[in-house]
Amino acid sequence: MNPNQLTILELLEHPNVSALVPLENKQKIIEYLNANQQKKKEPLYIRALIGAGAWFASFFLLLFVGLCIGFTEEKGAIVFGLGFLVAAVFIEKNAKALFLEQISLVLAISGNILFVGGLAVLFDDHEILIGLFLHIMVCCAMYILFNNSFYRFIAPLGVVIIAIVWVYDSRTFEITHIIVLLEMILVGILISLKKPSSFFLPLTYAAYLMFPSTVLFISLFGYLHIYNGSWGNMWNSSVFICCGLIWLFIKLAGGNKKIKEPWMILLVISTIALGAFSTPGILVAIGLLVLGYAFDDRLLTMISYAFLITFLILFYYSLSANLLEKSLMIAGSGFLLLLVRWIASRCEPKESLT
Amino acid sequence: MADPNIDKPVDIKTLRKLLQEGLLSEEAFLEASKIIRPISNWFAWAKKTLLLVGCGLVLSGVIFFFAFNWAAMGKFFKFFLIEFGIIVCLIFSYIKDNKSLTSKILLLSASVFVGVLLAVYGQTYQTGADAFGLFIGWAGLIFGFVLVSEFAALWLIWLILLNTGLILYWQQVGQFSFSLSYEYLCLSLAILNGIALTLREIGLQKGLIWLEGKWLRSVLLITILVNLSIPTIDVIVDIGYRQEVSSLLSLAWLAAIGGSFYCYRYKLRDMISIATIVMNVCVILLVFIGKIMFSNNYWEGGIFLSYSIIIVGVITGAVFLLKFIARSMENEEKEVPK
Repeated sequence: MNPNQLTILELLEHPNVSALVPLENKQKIIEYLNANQQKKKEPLYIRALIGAGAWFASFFLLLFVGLCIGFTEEKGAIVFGLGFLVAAVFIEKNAKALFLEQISLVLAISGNILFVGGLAVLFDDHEILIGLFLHIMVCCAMYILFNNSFYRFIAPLGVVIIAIVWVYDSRTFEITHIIVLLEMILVGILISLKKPSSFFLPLTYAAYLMFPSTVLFISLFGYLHIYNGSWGNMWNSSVFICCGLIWLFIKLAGGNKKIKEPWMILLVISTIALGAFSTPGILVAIGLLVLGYAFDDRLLTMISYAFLITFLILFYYSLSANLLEKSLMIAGSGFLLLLVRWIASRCEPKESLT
Repeated sequence: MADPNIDKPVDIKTLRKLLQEGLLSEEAFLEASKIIRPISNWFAWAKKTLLLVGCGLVLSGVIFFFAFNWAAMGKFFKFFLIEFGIIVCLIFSYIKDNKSLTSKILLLSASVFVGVLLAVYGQTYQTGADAFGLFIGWAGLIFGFVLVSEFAALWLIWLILLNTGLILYWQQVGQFSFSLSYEYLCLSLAILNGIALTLREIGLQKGLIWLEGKWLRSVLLITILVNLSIPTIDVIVDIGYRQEVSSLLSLAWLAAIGGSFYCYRYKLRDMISIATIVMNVCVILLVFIGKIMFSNNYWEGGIFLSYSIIIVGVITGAVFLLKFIARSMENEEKEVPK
C-alpha cells in the first residue's frame, strides 16, 4: 500500500499508530474532520483582496484626516489615531457584516499609523526609536484585541520595518545581528508550540517573512557600502543561524537519537561549511525551504525559493573577484551540490530503500 | 455519500491539526508522519532540490565564463565548447528516461546553451542584427526541444523568449519604422499569450498531465489581463493623445473578461482564475470611479473619505461575489451523480 495514499482511517488502523491512539480518540478524530470540512478557512486570495483593498482605502482615509486637521498637526493625529483604533476594535467585536469588518480593518491600519506617527513626532530627536516602541505596544495590544488575520500579519512586519529604518538612520548596524537573533528565536518558538492555534498563525507567517527580509537588508547595507560591509561583519548572524538550522534539522529528524546517522552528520557538516563560506541569507532560505516541506506549506516554499535565488545572486554579485573567478566559483558550487546529492544517495538509510 | 475528508489521502497538515487539537499524542504524531512521509520522501525531496539548484548554478557559471572570455578565446573554440555542451545535454537527456526531472532539466540546459551560442555568434561576426532577432531566432531553434520535453517550465521560457522578442521588435522597428503605438504591442502580447493559454487548456483536456500545474494558467491569465488593462486604464484616465485602437483594446478587455469568466466558472471551474478576473475588474472599476470623482480638480477632504468608503464597498462586493461563486460551484459538484 502506497503510504502517500493512506486515508485517515487506514492510518489509524496501522499497527504502529493504532496502539498509540485510544479508541475514543479515533471517533473524536472522525468527528473533528467532519466538523472541519463544514467550516472552511477563508481562501488566501480573498484575504489578499481584503488586505490590499484595506491598504488602499486607508491611504485615502489618511489623506482625508490630513486635509481636515492639517498634515503637520500632531495632536490631531494622535486623537484621530486613538479614536480610529478604539472604533476598529469596537466594530470588529460587534459587527457581523463583511463591509463593517473591512471598515474596521481600514480604521485599524489608519489609526495605527496616525497614533504612532503623531506621538513619535512629538519627540524631536529620537522620533524613530520612540515610534518603534510605540508601535510595538500598539501592535501587542491590537494583536490581542483585534481579531483580524491581515492586521495580525502586517503589524509585526511594521515593527521590523521601523527597526531597520532606525538602524539605518542611527547607523547602529551592529544591532541588526540582535534583531536577527530575536527573529530566529521567535520562529523557533512559534514552530515548537505544542498547541499553536490560528491566533499565532499570522504572526508565524510574519516571522517567516521578516526573518529573511532583515538578513536581506543587512546584506544590502554591506553591498551598498552603507557601512563597512565586508563579510566579516556577517559572521555573528551566520553563527546564530547555523546553530538554529542544526537545531531545526535535529528537531525535524525526531530528536538527538538521530545525530549519529551518517546522513545527519553530512547535513551538519554541510550546514557548517555553508555558514563558513556563504552568507546567512542562504542559510535562512534553506531553513525556510526545509520548514516549507516539513509543514507541507506551498506558500512558505515559494517564499523560500524566491529568497534563495535573491541571496545567491547577491552573494555572487558582491564577491571581490573578477568575472572569470566568479564563474568558476558559481559552477564549482553547482558541481559541489551535485556531489552532495550523489553522497546523499549513498548515505540513504537502507530501510528507506526497501 | 462518502465523506470527502475521510476518504482523502491524509497529509502532514491534517496530522498537525490533530496534534494541535490534542487528538493525537506527540508519539502518535511522529509515528504517523513517519508512515505517510518516510525518510525516503525527505531524501527524494532533498535530491530534487539539490539537482535544481546545482544545475542552476552550473549553468550560470558557464554563462558567466563565456561572458568573461570573449576576447581571450578563439572564435572556433568558443563555438566548439558551446556546441559540445548542447550535444552532451541532449545525449544525456536522451539516455535518461524522458519522464524524469533530470532529463527535462538537461533539455532546458541545452535550450539555454542555444541562446548562448546565438549571442556568441552575434558578438563574433558583428552581424548588426537587432536584438529582437536573437530572441525570435532562439525561440525558433529550441522549438523542437520544447515540443518533446513535456516540461511546462521550458514552455514558459519559450513564451518569455517570444514575448521579449515581440517587445524588442516594437521598440526597435515597430515604433520607429511604422509608428506603431504601444497599444499594438499590448494587443499582440495579449493575443500571443491568449493563444498559449487556450492551447494549454485544450492540451490539459486532451490528457497532457504535464500541463496540470495551475501556476502556468495563472501566469498566462495575468499577462493577458495586464496587457489589456493598461490601454483600458489609458482610455478611462485619458492622458494625452489617445489612439482609436485603445477603444478597441478596451472592448477586447471586456471580451477577455467575459470569455475567461465563463470558461473558468462553467467549464474549467477554477476559483483562483475567477478571483484574478474579479480583482482585475475591481482595479478598472476603481480607476473609473476615481476618474469621475477626482476629475473636477477640486479636492476636498470629503472626496477622499467617500473614495475610501467606495473602495471598501467595491472590495466587499467582490468578496461576496467570490464566496457566492465558490458556494455555487460546490453545490453543483455535489449534485453531479457519481
